[in-house]
Amino acid sequence: MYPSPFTYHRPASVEAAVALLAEFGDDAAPYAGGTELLLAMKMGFAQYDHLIDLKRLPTLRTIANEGEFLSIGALATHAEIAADPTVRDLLPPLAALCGEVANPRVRSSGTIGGNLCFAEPRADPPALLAGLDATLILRSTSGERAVPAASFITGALETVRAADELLVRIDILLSERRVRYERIVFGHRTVAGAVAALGAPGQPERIWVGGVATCPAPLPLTQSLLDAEPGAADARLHDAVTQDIAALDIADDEEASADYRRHLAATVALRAIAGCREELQR
Amino acid sequence: MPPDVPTTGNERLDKVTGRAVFASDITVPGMAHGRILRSPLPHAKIVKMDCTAALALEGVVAILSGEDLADLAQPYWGLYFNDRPVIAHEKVRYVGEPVALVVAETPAVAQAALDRIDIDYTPLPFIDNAGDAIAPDAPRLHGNLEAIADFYFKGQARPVSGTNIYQLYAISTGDTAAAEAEAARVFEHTYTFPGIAHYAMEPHCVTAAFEGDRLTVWSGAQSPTAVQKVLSRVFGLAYANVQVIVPHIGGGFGGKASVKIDPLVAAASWKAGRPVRVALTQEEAMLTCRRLGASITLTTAVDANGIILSKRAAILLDGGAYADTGPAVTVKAANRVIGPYAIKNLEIESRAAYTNTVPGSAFRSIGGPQAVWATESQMDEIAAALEIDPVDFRHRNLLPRGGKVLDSLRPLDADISEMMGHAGQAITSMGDRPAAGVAVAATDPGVLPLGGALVRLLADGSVLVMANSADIGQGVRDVLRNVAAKTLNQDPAAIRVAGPDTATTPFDWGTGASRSTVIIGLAVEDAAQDAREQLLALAASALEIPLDGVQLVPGGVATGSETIPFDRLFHTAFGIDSGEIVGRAMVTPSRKGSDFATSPLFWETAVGACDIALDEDTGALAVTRFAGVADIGHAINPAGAEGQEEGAAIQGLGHALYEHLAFIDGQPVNATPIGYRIPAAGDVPHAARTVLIENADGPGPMGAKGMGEGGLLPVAPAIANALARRYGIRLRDLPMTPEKIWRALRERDSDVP
Repeated sequence: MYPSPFTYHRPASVEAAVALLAEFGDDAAPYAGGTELLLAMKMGFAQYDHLIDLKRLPTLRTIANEGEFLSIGALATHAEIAADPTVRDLLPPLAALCGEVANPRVRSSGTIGGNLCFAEPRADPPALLAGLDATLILRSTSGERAVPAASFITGALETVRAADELLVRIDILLSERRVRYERIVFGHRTVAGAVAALGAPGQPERIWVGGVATCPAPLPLTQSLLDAEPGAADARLHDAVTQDIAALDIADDEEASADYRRHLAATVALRAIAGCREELQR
Repeated sequence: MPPDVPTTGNERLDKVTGRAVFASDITVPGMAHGRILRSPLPHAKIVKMDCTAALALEGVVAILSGEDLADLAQPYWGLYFNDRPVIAHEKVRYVGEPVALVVAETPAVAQAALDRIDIDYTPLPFIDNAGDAIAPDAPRLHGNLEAIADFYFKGQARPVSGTNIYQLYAISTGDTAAAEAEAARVFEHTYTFPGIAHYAMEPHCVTAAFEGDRLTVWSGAQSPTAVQKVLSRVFGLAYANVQVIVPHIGGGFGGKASVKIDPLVAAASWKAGRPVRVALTQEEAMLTCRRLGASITLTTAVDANGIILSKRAAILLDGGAYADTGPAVTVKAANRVIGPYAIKNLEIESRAAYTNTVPGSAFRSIGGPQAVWATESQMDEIAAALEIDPVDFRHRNLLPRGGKVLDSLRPLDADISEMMGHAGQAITSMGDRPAAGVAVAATDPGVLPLGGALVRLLADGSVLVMANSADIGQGVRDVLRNVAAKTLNQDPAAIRVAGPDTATTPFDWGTGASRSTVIIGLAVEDAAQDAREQLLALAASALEIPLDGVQLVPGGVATGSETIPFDRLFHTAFGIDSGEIVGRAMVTPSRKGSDFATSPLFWETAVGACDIALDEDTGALAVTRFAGVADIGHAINPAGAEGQEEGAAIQGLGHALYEHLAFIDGQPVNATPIGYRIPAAGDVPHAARTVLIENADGPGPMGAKGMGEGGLLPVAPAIANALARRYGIRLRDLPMTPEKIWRALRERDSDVP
């Protein structure tokens, strides 16, 4: 009901924010949209002595076309990404997804960076960004490092971000791949999501699922099959997807039994691949 | 002293502008805040409770626990049994039961103090479902309790001694064995229905202030006089010294009916010597009460022509840890499982059992959704087996208007057959295909005809209607305003509806069972009529003209030649331009001109029809078109009436597809707004119609019947019937989640050779 008491900081620069993180480490949490963090704190699932409010750091919300890649500030909200002309132009599936996640209230305050760092297993953007082979830029007092979105989340609510690091932006390499994100949502929760990014000459095919296991996961057999045979028949695709998903660690939960969730994951993965193929044939 | 609770002329405007006052808006000078420590175990003895560290926390005022109960006049209370302690006493019976209430200067301090209370429990064997509760060797939750008669509902519960069964109710007519022996076919199916959270937008909130032997309570209560009665027993206070004030209510659905946290909060104020406010969270509201889950086995015999010869029903309800109004739910489930059908031979046994789960209580159409889910699903199953169209099968068996569901009940006052026709037409008006699923219902609201009203005409022509009907979002104040306006021939804008406040508004049983429009509507009509007669007599006498020479007109009286405003009339009659006319009325079972001897006072009828779309890959279902039909006699507040029907249907959609308050090993697993899904705007069918039948044949003002519950009833079976008809799968367990649908589809496909 009430979060445990904390000290509120509102740094005036990214440098100051990173310095606070360095000072307080594990006792601090960056506070962006607050849609997940504050809820977790109010429900007693998370406690921090220090909240570092990033909302007054406009440089963190810039969205820019950098030529080779699209750069999205970690503080950009879902609604801002959904409405941004550059994202809509260069990566329509990302804009579309950000326009559909959760509800208008969450979209208008929740941020893409917060969504990634919170690493809620049912979130959609992490899987899509992993599928897009995005790069996350983390900053600390000792400088910046780049982490692939594909290896950023390591488990439920777990990432490779160190306590003194701040996610500052997401760089998405622009490619010729056709991208399709498919998901199944019951109520306000995704029960299975999948992205297919296919068809760029010389680049490996990427198929990832999200909202299924504890963190986004690639479908390696399926990727290899499509790398080798872009036109692989549906039955073989189905087998590869099914095998890939059988290898994932998926548990029964209140929303879905494991076998049903596997079925849903396979369904969205095949739908995403089919959607991409349709676009490639146009 | 306590602030007035403003009620203005336009509740909707007040609500959308944030001016409307709800229970949680009440502040009282000196008020402290309470937070509740709840049991983590489903069944346990409290061996030790140490509050020393919590009391030492700065800002903590007092802590109420079971040890304080000895000083209360009546520490255990209830509506059918005094089975519930004001706060857990020596043992706990469900996860979430209040075991200590910390009163502190702020809610945050009270919350922080909860962690400092040290309690040792000894776990006891527990039961978390009704099937286990009735097993011969089941652990018992309560000793043998004495049933209280005619305390809240008429009648008393009939518990089965030595068991967890707190209510056993049976109906027996004719000879079902003989009917089954001669039947062409006998069908037996079991249908299950889960516990469901009320999920009112506003959780329970109560502020209580003791001053010596006087207790004032602000509560979002549907039944203020029941709260007053129970509080008077618990604390040994005169009714006149217990004042219950009800501000606006942010939804109730029965979850705020009878009595809920009021005794607990009042006891905290009594212990602390301060006014105390307790505002529950939604999570806590979900641990306070719920709809009773049910398992219903129906055995129905039909002849070769598709005529139902007999019906047996075995109903078992999961009552939770305390009986609350569960005994009434048990009775109504039995009456409501019959349906609006002509069935000569009936054998119905309905039982409710205690379990170590959240207490079951009243919820919009008590026992109705459970019963109608079973009956209307089975109607389609039988029709399918007999290869009769399900609508036709219903037509063959429906009672006509005036037919009797049971000899003891009032004849049916609606034409269900005609209503089915309207539902079918409404569906085809929204799309090409006919309805995929249909269900009907006729329920007998438990309306106690006891409630009063005052209608005060003030010197400036404004009117105060004073009644104890709670506005739970259903728009009852608009109804009462319209009734008073019509009877007094005054502009509705001149009329303000005040209350509930037990100190100033006359007794009323409570807001529930679809009764307010009929009973308090009549009380307001009678009181307005009384005021009218007094006014006309006053005018005739003061103006020295014959009684038939005056009539009421907006703002005053007319004599034919001139219109005299009320203040001039009062000036002439009383010597100054002040004063008022007080019209009063109390509707009782013997009200003149009403037939209140037979129950129900009216039938609440509903027909629902739908079409659905199904993603067969995933089991995801959408209701694409929905039509609801209700016979409500007369819509006094048409927009409100339609809103009630549609809201009920959407709540029914939640029951059908999403909602299930689940327990695993006695632990609630989804009792949070995150874990528990209710319908959202996006789930509502884009094409929906409500048809209201108005023949002005109800017992209420202008021929109105009560309404607002029925729309919920047909939704789940109509959807299940649509799934069977369009997709060949039959689900008998609610809610019909995508996973259950997917499994049924897989089973269907594996059965195909």
